[in-house]
Formats: sequence, structure tokens, C-alpha cells
Amino acid sequence: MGFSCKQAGALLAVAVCATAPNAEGMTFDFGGFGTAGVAWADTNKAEFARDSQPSGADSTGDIGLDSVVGVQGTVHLTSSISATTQLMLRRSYSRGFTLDVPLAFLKDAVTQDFAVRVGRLQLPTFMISESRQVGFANTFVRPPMEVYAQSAVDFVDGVDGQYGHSFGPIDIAAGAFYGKVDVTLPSADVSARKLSGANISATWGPVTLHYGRVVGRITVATAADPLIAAVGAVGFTQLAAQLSSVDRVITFSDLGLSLDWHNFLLQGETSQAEFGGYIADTRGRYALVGYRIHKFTPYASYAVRKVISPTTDSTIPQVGPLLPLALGVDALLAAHGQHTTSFGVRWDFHDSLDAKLQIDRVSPEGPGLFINVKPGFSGPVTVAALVVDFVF
Amino acid sequence: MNRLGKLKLTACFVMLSVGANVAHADVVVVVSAKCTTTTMTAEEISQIYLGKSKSMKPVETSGSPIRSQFYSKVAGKDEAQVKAIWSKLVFTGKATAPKELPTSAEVVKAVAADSEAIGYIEKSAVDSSVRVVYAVP
Repeated sequence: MGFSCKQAGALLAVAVCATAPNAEGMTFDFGGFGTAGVAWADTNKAEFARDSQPSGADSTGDIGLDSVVGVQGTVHLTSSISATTQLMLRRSYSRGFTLDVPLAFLKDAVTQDFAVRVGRLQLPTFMISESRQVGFANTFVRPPMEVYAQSAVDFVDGVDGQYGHSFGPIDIAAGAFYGKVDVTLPSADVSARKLSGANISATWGPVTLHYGRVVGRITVATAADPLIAAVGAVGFTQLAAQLSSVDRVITFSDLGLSLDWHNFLLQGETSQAEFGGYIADTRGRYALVGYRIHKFTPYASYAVRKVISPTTDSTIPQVGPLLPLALGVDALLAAHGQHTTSFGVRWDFHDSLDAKLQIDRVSPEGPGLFINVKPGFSGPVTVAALVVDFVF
Repeated sequence: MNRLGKLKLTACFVMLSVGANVAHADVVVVVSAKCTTTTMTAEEISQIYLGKSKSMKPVETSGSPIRSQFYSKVAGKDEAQVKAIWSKLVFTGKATAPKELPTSAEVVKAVAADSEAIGYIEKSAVDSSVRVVYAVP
């Protein structure tokens, strides 16, 4: 094998000696990440949970809210083809810790700028969706639920293309995917088909702008299905069709910004989730500011979730024998906003280890995003979390 | 100020400069001597070592004291920030972190043998098999 290196073109003077990489054999990379955490909420009438967790933190303290451990291995089969699998243990869709497979793909780095992956991929719905379980990669303890709980589905089985290129001082990273996913949530079976999406981020010096969009068709099977059938059976066929959650179009869009300028950090996202059927359309936004002082990064954030679709319906008269059905429809449409103010500090106390303390003041409308709500619950609720993040 | 004071001050100054020299070894960025590339900018090197550009394969010495000097001068980041950036790329399955080798001598060997590799080492470890494309200030 002969070496013949060449200098890259004048426009992009990155040293490219492209013709003769070293032909090494198969290599293997292994690593992992995790968070050990405990959280409390100052209520025993509801629980504060992430995403679709069926249980969360209350006044008795909870280690399942934020704790997670993930391991990942990659086999580089050739200089361009690799296989990656990630296993993650955390509380996801069931009460105990369960083992998920968030990533399992074959990758072909077709060119220096473009790679194709096939298999199980993380759904890139929001700006940090794919890395949100990696506490060490993030300033806050957990991404704001006002935005990130809008999607109950984390991964997709399919194919994606990843493109990255530097145009002078601007680094572009873009991706597009297509696939499907079936998941069993605590209270619903979700089946998403024809899921597709694209995202692009542009980094110029300290500033990164991100835009992402996901569309697909979902069918959600829940205990509400007989109610919807009953609405149709008594003659409200149009309303039943509106409420139906079979093969509905979903759309997520997300615009994000992050800034890491000297020691000043800024991160924010504005997102919208639209579901067909009875599931509420929502808008979620947050902004975080932080300032790095040596090993300490104090930060503050504000997040808000708004329901932007009707949460009641007057089609069925709320009188007489149809009253229970009318109330049932309103119960089905019920959805609640929430806003949270958070303060925290990240301490990078050791190489590959950080500790964080975060206090959230969560103000729900009604139950907001709280779960296992008991009668008499009302906000606001203070949530405190202490975590240690690690990577290896 | 009396003479003794001046002497003490000078001594302090000398000691400080010696301390600075120990903490800041001369660090250079190298590619294979078979590459015709003669210079690279800090920006280009930073893009490779922070995973923004996959134009070359970065190699580094594991646990080396020159590491924090390299990242702070070339990329303006401390080691925790660099680790956070890479953990984001690695655990989303988007990139593979720089290859770590136990010694500078092995970095030289790996870079010399691979026309796509790039490494950073103490200037004293440079030999004829590699070409210096950037001197870390």
C-alpha cells in the first residue's frame, strides 16, 4: 500500500491525507455513562416523574427518577463500517429499573462527511433528545419536562443519514431518518408508523442554532377506546372520529439555541407537539442561563408548557342520560399546563465526574405533569435532586 | 527598596518562570511525514479534536499532563468540557472519541503509520517519521 497524501483545496484548508489510511484490523471501543441520584418532592399527594415513568419522587425520596447507567460497545469492522449497541438500565416504562436498548445499529461512514445508520436509533425530536440521559453532557439534572415529556417515545427502528461539514467558521450537522416504533407505555400501547424527520444545527463559534421536525402516524390503544366507541354508538360519529387515536398524524417541531461564550452559558428551546385525536396539542419552552466559575457552574432555568388544543367539548349535552358520556369526553380531553423555575449548581469535582444539586419550583395547572395524583393535591411543589454523573 | 529586597524579588521571579516552564512543555501537533501538509490552523485542529470534522483521525496520550494545555490553547476548553462534548457525540452513536495511547512514542508511531492520523506530543518526542504542522502556543 503506497502513501500519497495531498493537501486539501484552498477553500477548506483542512489537512486531508485521504488516500491511504492505515489498514488496521477489527477494533473495539467500550464506554459508559451514568447518574446516581436521589430526589424528593414536598408532597405526598402526587409524584414528580420524567417522561413516561409510572412512578416518581414524592416526600419519601426516590432514587429512580434520575438514576441511570448505560454501557456502549462499538466494533469497527472495517475503516468505514461499524456496529454499535448501547444498553441502558433505568426506570423507563415500568416501576422498577428496566434494561432498554436505546441504540443498536450498523453504520457505514460513506464519506468523511456522511454516514448511514440502520437499526435502533434515538429519536431526535428535540435539541438534546439523543443525549438527555447522559447527565455528564448536560448542565441541568434533567431536561425540562415541559418540553421533553411531550414525546413519550424515545427511539425509532429504521434508517438515518448523518451529515457534518465545516463551511469556514460554521459547522453544520444535519440528519434525516425514517422508521417505525412500537412501545408499551404504562397506560397505552403506542404504535408509530412512517415516522420521519430531519434536523439541522449550525455552530458558529460559541453559538449553536438547532431546528428539528418529526412527523408520523400513530395509533394509541388505551382504556379510553371503549368510551370513544360509545360516543360513536350513540350517534356522535363525527366527534368519535375526531377523538379517535387510530392512525393519526403527529408533528413535532423544535427550535433551539445554545451559547457557550467564555464562561457564560445559555440554552433554550421552543417546541410544539401536535397529535390527532383526543391527545392534547402542546407547546413547551425553556431557557437556561449558567455561569462557569472554575469547577462550579451555577444555573437557573424557567420552563413552561401550554395546552393549545381544546380541553372540553360541548357536542354531547351535559344533561340527562348522556351526562356520564359527556363528562367522560371532557375527562379524555383534559390536559394541563405547567411551569417550573429551577436553580442548580454543577460541580465538576473530578475528571469524568460531576455532582449537581437542583431545586425546582413546579407550578402545575391542576395536576400538571404530576402522576399518581391523589385528591387534595395542589401545587406549587418543590422538587430537590442531588446527583452524581459519570462517564467512563 | 534595599538590595536584599531586590534580590529576593528577582529570585522569586526566576522561580516563577521556571515553574511556568515546567507546567508548559512545548507541545506540537503532528501528522505523518508522508503527508505533504505543512501547516494547520488551531481552528482546523480544534474541529478535529472536538468531533466537528472527521477529516482526520485524532490520536492522543491517555492521562498526559500536556492534554489540558493542548485543549485550553487550541480549543479554549478545559478537560471536563471536552469530555462533556465527546460524551454527547459518543453516546448518541455519532462519533468515536480520539484514540488514546499510553505514551507519546506510541502516538508518534500511530501517526507515522497512518496518513489520516493526527496527534499532539511534546516537541522533544518528534522524530523524522512525523511532520510538525502546528506548535501549540
